[in-house]
Formats: sequence, C-alpha cells, structure tokens
Amino acid sequence: MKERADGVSLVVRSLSLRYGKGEWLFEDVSFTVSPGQLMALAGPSGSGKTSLMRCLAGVVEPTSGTVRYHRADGRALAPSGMGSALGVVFQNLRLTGAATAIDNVCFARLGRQPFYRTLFGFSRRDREGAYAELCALGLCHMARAPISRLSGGERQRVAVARALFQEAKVILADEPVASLDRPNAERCLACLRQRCRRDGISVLVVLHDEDLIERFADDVVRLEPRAELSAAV
Amino acid sequence: MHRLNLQSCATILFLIFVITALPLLQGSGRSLDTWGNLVRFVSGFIPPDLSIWRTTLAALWETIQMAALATFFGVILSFLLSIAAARTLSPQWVVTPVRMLMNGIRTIPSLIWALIAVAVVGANPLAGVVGLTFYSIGYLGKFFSEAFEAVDLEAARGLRAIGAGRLQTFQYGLWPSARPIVWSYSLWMFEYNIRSASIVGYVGAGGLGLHLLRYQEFGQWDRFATVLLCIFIVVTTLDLLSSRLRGKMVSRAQGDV
Repeated sequence: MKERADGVSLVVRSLSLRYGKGEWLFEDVSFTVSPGQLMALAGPSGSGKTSLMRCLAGVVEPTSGTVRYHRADGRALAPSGMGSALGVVFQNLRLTGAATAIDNVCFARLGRQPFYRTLFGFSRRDREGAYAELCALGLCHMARAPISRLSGGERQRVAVARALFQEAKVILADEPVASLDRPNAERCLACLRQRCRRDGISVLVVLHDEDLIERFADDVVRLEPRAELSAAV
Repeated sequence: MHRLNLQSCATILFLIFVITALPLLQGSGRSLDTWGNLVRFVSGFIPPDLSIWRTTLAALWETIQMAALATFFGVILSFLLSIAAARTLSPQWVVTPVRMLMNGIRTIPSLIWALIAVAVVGANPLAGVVGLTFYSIGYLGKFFSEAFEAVDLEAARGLRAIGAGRLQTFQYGLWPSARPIVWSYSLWMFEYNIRSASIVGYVGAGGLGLHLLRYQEFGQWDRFATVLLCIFIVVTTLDLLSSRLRGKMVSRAQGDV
C-alpha cells in the first residue's frame, strides 16, 4: 500500500455524541484511516454508526472529541473545510430523483466548475467519465434512466459512482451495499478498494456482512451496542 | 348525538346566511315575461352570422397572441418572484413582503387589471398583455413558490456539500424536481389567459372582447353568437389538449431520493 503525496488521512480522537442531555449514541471512539486504506465500520443496529458517519461528514457536531482530516502538507482540516475533497454516500443517498443517473454522477464535478460552465449541461469529457464510473458498477444500461425509475440497489450504486467521480481524497459511505445482491455488493466494494489503492484515497465504509468485511476491508472499527455501553458507564 | 364540529358549524352558518339572502330573489318586483324574454334573447343568437368569420378569426389570433405574450412575461417574472417567495430558498424578510405583494396582485380580477392597463397604455392589445401579465404573476408566483417549497432539499444539500454553488444547486438539485410542476402551471396559465384575453376587450384591451362589445352595443346577437361559438371551440380544444399534456408532465414528475 503506497501512500501518495496528496493523500488525506482521517483522524478521529475520543469522539462522543450525546442525544441532547440524554443517552450517548457512541462514546470515546478513536481511529485513523490512512490514504490507500479501506476501513470498515461495523456494529449492531442502533450502535450509532450512521450518527458517527454524520459527525465525520460535518453534518452533526460531536459532543466531544475531534474529527480532523490531515493533509500531506501537515495541515489538519475540519470536515467543513474539505469541500469536494470529501465524498460522502449518505444512507438517504441525496440523489436528484428527476435527473438521470449519468447526470447525478456528473453533479460530482459541480464543485470544481464555475456556474457558467455547467449552465448548459456538462462537458463531453465529464459525461464520458461519469458513464465509465456507472459501467464499472454495472449500470451501463441504466445511465440514461431517471433515478426515480431505478431500484434501491441501483440508486446506491449511482451514489457510489458519484462519490468516486468526485475525485475525493476521503470517501465515507454509509451502508453503500445494503440493498445490493451478493455479486453486485462484491463488485461495488472491489471497485471502491481498487480506487482506494490506485488513487490513495482514505475510505471508511459501514458494513454489516462479516464475510465482506473479511474480504475487502484492511481493518475494522467496531462500535459496541448501546446497552452494553450504558451498562459500562 | 352528532358532535358539533367545525364543519357542521360552518355549514349551519352558511345556511343561515343563505336564508337571510333570500329577499334578493324578488328581483325588481315587477312581473316580467321572464320566459318570453329568454326566448327572444336566445332566438337572436340563432342562426349565428358566420359571414364575419374572417374578422373573428383575426381577432381570435390577436387574442391568442395577447395570451401568449402575457404568459411569457408572466412566467419569467413569476419565476424570479417565486424564488424570493419560497421559504426554503429565501430569508423570511424577503419572503413576507414578496408574498404580500403577490397576494395583493391576486385580489384584483383580470378585468380590473385590464382596465388599469387601458388607462395607462391606452385602448389597444398592449393593455391586454400588460393586464394579463400582472394577473398571471399573482397566480404563477404563488404556484411556483409552492412547487419549490415542495421539493425535498436533501438532494440540494448533497450538492452543496460537494461544493456546488447556489445557482448550480438550484439548477441541478431543485429545478429537475420542480420543472414538471412549473411547466404544467405555465400551460394552465396560458389556457386561462386565452379565456381571459377573450373578455378583456370589453374594457378596450383588444382581442375578441372588443368585437363582443361592439356586437352587443348594436344588438347584433347573431354575430355575438359567432364570437361566443369561436371562444367555446378554442377553449374546449385547449382544455382537452392541455389537460392531456399536463397529465403526461405530472406523471413524469418524481420525488427525490
């Protein structure tokens, strides 16, 4: 695994999140994802995986602890400072339902172009690139279909394609293969891992399937179920 | 026992109001030959004088042109205003005054708008265009802003997070979902404007209404009937066409994921 000069690592230290003044969603979580590493995030349902991902993406402020993205030049950025360098596949995907799959993937490039460039659509190069990403995930035939006509699993793959096409330095994916059948889940994860290695991206993926974790992840962060946690406190 | 809920209270109040309004039905109080009047009036319509078809068609064409221009300007202005009037897109201090303005515009009927326009730009088709443009803004502004507010903002948030600008986020995160609704309301407005445009001539704003007024003044009911027939055919055709077209558009409207 070679670290690229422009890689960004994700460093999480003592991260905790509490629901108001009530129960803790997760407590004291620390780990690091380095460039070229595919880390799995596992834990039973309700253990706070999605909340943790939302903290990492900067959507939710943690109660305590830090999330920092360390660049090769030594600067450490908060999630808000990452912009298009941070690719996120949310559980609700955030795709534009009325637009086509290929357009949704093209949207990944919006952050890199001024509005007048994208006012009348995307360049041929962008469209070809987006098409290639979709094909790599087995969605060639669906490229021109609107998202609303796609199945849950197909939408998930479009969201992954978008994160990959964004040329992000760090990718956070919340259960990107949950609605996929086995072969497609494998293809999707293989694709993520290949890009992770090739481009030195730091990847954190929420996964349930132990077999998939074993085969595709370099390491795994496990969140404890909340009952045990509160018992320990 | 029936519970006296809001709905039944309102119904009872309405019925009481209707009873108090009954004296209106007396009319002038004189005994008129109502039936005879009706027969005499309607028989004037038959047969319609079709010899004026050439001028009627020209006026119809002018009416449609007026409606098209008014819809065009109305859609553009409403589009801009509706962004300012959508709670999800603009700050409250912008939303409130813009909404009040649109509500104000909406309370004035199209015929009054035409009257105002005639006073300002004179008795010609331009007055019709101006009047109907204002009338359109009142409705389209409201409908468009509601269409924008109805769009789930998750997709837009996703684009913002990627680093897309405001305009890009609107164009790609919001507009695709709102577009079918905006189109369908615009089409409805065009249809509505053709209907209105055929009557605004009554106050001097051009189109078919001008002919209606003239034939009425001279008691040429057979010609009057031809114009009415013409409006009837156009409006019915348009109604059929646009409801079919709108149905197609809306069925293609989809929510976000």
